[in-house]
Amino acid sequence: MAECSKSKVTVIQLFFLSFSYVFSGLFLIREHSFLSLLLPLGSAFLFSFFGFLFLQCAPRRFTEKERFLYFLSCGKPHWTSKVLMGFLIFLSAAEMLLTWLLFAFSVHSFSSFVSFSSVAVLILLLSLFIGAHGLTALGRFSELFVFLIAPLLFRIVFRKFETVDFSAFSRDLYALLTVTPAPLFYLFSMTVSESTTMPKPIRKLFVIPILSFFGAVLAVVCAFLFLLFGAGDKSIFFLLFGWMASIIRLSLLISVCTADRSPISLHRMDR
Amino acid sequence: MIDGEKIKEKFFTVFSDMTDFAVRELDFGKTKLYIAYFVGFSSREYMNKYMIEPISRAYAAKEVSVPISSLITNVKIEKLQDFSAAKDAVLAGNAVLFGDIREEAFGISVFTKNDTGRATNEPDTENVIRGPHEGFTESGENNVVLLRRRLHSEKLKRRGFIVGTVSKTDVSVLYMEGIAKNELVSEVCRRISEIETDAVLDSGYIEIYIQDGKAPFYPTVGNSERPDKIAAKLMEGRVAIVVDGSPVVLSAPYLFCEAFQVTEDYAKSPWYATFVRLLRCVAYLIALYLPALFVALFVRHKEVLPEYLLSSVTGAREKLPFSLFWEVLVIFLIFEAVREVGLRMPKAVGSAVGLVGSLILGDSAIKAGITSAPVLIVVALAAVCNFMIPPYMNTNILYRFFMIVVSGALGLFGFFAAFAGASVMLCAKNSFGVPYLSPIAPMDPWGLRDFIYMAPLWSMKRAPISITGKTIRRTNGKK
Repeated sequence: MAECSKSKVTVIQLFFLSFSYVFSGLFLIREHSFLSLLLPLGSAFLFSFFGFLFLQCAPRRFTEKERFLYFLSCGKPHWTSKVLMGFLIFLSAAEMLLTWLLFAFSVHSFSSFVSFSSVAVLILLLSLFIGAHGLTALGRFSELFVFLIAPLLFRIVFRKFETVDFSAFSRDLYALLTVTPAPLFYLFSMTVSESTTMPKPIRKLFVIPILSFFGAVLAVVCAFLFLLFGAGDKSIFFLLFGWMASIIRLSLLISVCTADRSPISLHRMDR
Repeated sequence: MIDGEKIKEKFFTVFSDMTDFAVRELDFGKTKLYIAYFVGFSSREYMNKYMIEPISRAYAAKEVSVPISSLITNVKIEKLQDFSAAKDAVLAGNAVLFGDIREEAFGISVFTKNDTGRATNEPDTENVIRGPHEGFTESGENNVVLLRRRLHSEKLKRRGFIVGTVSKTDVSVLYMEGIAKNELVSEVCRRISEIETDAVLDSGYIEIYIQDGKAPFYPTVGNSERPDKIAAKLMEGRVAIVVDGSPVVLSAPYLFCEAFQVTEDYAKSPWYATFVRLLRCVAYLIALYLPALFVALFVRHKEVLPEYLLSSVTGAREKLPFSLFWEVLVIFLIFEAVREVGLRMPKAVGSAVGLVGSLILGDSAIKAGITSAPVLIVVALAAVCNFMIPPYMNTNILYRFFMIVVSGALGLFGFFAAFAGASVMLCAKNSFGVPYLSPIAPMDPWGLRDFIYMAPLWSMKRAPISITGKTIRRTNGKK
């Protein structure tokens, strides 16, 4: 039996990919200020939420072979889609370099006994390894986030609340810049709906209200995490959570920059 | 007419220097019959009861106008067309009747294979307090019967294969038609039919040949000695592979979550079953990650540890000659050596060795200043927790060593990198086309009802979609 397609993701996986991408952006440059935490968090949630809405609408609006990019270039010269695609790839490549360096700084600041160059090389190798397994594996990997939230919540219960530092507003804009949604835009634009019609009970399960509820719950959880851990916390759970988001972000960017331009098929369930 | 004497000579030529090969001659005046068989392999009782007695009676009563195959009762027969088929039949434990047999055939193979083996006992490896105490045996036919006794359905299909150029082992593929995916059944059959080997001496041989990947770290083919467990897997759309000579029946596909499911869970209160499932999950994480995390934090990141914890561990290790990293590694190696000795020794001696190794050796090592109590606690806890998930016991041991080494070298980032790398490999893994980590990743909320927590049996409305590929309704969801 052939291995499953490397470009097959589910709606839930796309949500977690989007979320971890945006989430890691604010983790990598997180500051001890309430606003710098809140703004990227809000943008992360909003972007993921609207991404969801789009994904829910997409199967109804486009046929199997049509993509969002095709939709954008309708009635316009064909080259516009190519220019747009090129621009998205360029932005993704720039993001990739930035993420790589920021992630390496983040790891090196915690593990200073290892040289920066070693950390950078190890991170790159790990991201390449993960990226080489394809978007399907990356999507599944991002779903493991759900199981990391449990120990984090456990940690919150047994930790005293710390005051939040409201200074360092100057970095807020930078925090927002790191969540440039170019790769996500690219990802959505490359996504096509599944061809098969799903049985009714499964279709019912993934309607917008449930997904919105799920997204809202996750956003609330993350808001709690940031309020409690944002102020210079050294919790290793939080650190692992942030690193996982960062490695997903970097691997996603590598996948976007190196993958062939074939459509990514979107499924409600990975079977 | 075929000359029986010539065939007899040919048999003795082919089976020369085989003292257990015999040909019994039945002389009825003008008619002479021959029975070729292996002593002990073919049942003497079956041959007498179902072949010799009815044939002799018919000749005594001079009622031999009917074909001789009609005289053989209560046992399966097969007409053979040439000597090669007759030779294979004898080698398979059947008795071959030839001579003046009044049939349009070279001979008749009578299924008199001696199937007396051990009784169906409860398997030692899968004990349950509540549930059937019956296990598979070495007889493939008997194992199929054990499954048929549980699933009285015409949908339980069986396909047969003979694998091994020398061993010619009977391999049966069983599945529930309409529940198991056709692609899955075809794929399992294809992989089995493509096996090229001289001998299959156990189901483990088949497992190695048909599993996904050349040398997978995690198992992608399941196994069990319990008929009730395999029957349950068949009802979930899996395929069972019965190998003659092995009491272990294989099942495919095999998913990560299956190691956490025990047959007895389904007969317990869902609340308690959920508690036990969660306990197994936590035990799995402890067995795999606790020693590595311990090494990463106490060797590389002491600054993040609470003062009281750090001082108690460093205090206990003050006069030790090894670093903590080497101490953990060496204690684990010693533990694995003691465990292996306990497994290989006879049962009575093995438990004594285990006791001496774990208690006396451990206690003496602390007193002698070779190891510290905190390290022993961490190692023992991880080792004990590992026994809670038997299917991953061996895999976890190797992965744990790798995690400890990487965590010791790179600290928490090493721990994270090893975790992420292994997790992605598991995420990318498939077992016969089914995602290995299903229902975790890809997430299937319905599938989780039978993994991390356990919903009541009556509420599990359908078979796992990831395996069946379609909605198979099992109950109406009401009680």
